[in-house]
Amino acid sequence: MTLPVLLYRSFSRTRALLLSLAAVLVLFQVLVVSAATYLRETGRLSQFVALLPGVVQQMTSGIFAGFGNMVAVGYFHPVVIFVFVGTAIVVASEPAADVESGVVDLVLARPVARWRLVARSLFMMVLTTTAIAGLMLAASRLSITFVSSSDPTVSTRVLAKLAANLVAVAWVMGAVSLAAASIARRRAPAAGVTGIIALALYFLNLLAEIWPRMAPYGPLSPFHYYRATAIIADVGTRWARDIATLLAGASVFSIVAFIAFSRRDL
Amino acid sequence: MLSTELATSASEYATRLTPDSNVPPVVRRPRDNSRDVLPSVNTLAIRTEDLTKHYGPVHALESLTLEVSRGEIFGFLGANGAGKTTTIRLLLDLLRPTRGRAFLNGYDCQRESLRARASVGYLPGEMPIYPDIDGRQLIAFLAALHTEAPDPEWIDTLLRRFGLSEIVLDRRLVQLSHGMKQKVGLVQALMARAPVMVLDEPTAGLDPLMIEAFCETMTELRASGHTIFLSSHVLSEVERLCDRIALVTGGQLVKVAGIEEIRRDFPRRVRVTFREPAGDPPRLDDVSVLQADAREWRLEVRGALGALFEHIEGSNIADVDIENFRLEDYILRLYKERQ
Repeated sequence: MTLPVLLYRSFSRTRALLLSLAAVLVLFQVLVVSAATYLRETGRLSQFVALLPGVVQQMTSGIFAGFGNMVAVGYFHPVVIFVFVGTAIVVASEPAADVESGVVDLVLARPVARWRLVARSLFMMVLTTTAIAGLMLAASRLSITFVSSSDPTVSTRVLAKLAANLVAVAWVMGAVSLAAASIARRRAPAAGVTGIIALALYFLNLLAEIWPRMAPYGPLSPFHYYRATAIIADVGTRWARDIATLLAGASVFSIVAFIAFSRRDL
Repeated sequence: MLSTELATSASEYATRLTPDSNVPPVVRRPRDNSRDVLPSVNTLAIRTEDLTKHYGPVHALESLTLEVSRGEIFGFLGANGAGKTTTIRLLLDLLRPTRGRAFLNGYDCQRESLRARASVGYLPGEMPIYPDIDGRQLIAFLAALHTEAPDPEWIDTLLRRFGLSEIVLDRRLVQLSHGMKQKVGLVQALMARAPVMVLDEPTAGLDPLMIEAFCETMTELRASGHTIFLSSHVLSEVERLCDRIALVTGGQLVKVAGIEEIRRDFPRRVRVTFREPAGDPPRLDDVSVLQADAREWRLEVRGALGALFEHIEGSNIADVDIENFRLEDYILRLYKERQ
């Protein structure tokens, strides 16, 4: 029963932040659907696409051409990615917060195994990102139903695949944050450094896509395995492999976190 | 499966936090009194063997070998940075030793960490808090982490004894004064009635009434066979409560002694004044002369004063002033000797 108790405490501690971030991401989906509906109904979709810079058009392979594709933007827009990944990073950095505040002494003075604190943060990260992704999907579907008239170009399957891939990317960076927090004595450096690494990896992937000389380094970034345009276009069968790669990465960093926290001085 | 378990736990946990009850509600499972029964009479409550902790070039603790028997209140003394907290954190497996071993209730603090920690109650030197919850919620949360739920009646007794009213318990911990937080800390440390209680500066910030309540509680717990490992700078309190003390300085154990033994062996200062000139002070084994003139002797006497009184019997004595034993003097002397 220790793990649920720790999870409940952890959720209570962060619920205000989590609910706020979930609200931002849900609202974003509603806004995207509303904007897409407006552009479609006013016939300005093609004008909007024409306004986009050439490089963006090249990178997105014309995915803004349809209403369904516009809705999908809510799952790979940089703001969405950063907020989502940031949530995972913050939630997973809790072991360092426990050490920083000293509450780890009170918890571990009881018959609670160290690994449970790491497992608690891992579960929290997995549960919250999955729940937020689920809320985003629900918000997209409900917005399409109520704000826009139903559209056959919107595929729930595609949206779900995008959401799952986004969750997997967040888990990798969350696991990196967990590993950092299992070594650090303060939360801010653990989460902050991981956030900077995430940002650097995002731009590494971006560079790798537009600059051939950087292309070999692209696979080092977890964002490389989030091929939104391919999912939307439904081409290639790499989605499952990408997810598996991301899960493997998340597992490696999680194992590092468990080992590091079990061996460290608190 | 997990979400169902979590939801069940969360609702159960929330139920325990109802503010109506007089005590912080905890899961009322049948109390297992066997926890109070000591695993083996022969097992020491605390034992360390060559316990050492280095932080790079800093030797925080060096080869500490110590034994604390069951049912004793043991004072662990030392200046700031002497290695007291390091020792405590090694006992709780919060730190990993560079060398040596530590045992709580016969369980290896590292290899059998969970069993060792199941038999200990701990008050940190500075009471850490979750800023978002109140005292009741903290106690309920920590109680839920025990394998066996603490006795609610005992918690109620502790809350009343330390003057933690409903109003105080319903306030967020960040809003509480240092003393109030310390009281919450004491309740959480003592609530499981663990066989061994490790208390780091337990009376810091407490008012005299609460110190009295604390001392009474410690005496009661000792009487029921619990072992108290007490780290404190308040030497009057240590002298009053402890059966034995250990002094650490610079990470090394300097002295382990019983309070009665110290009291017996530590020289007392005696000043004898005479109405008319007296002779020389006596040349007794346990008496050393600090200063002597015709009408006043200043002496240091080890042990009983009978021999001295027999010697001055019949003299025209104006006054005899005997300084009470103070642990502080003894500790200061040890420090000076060490330096």
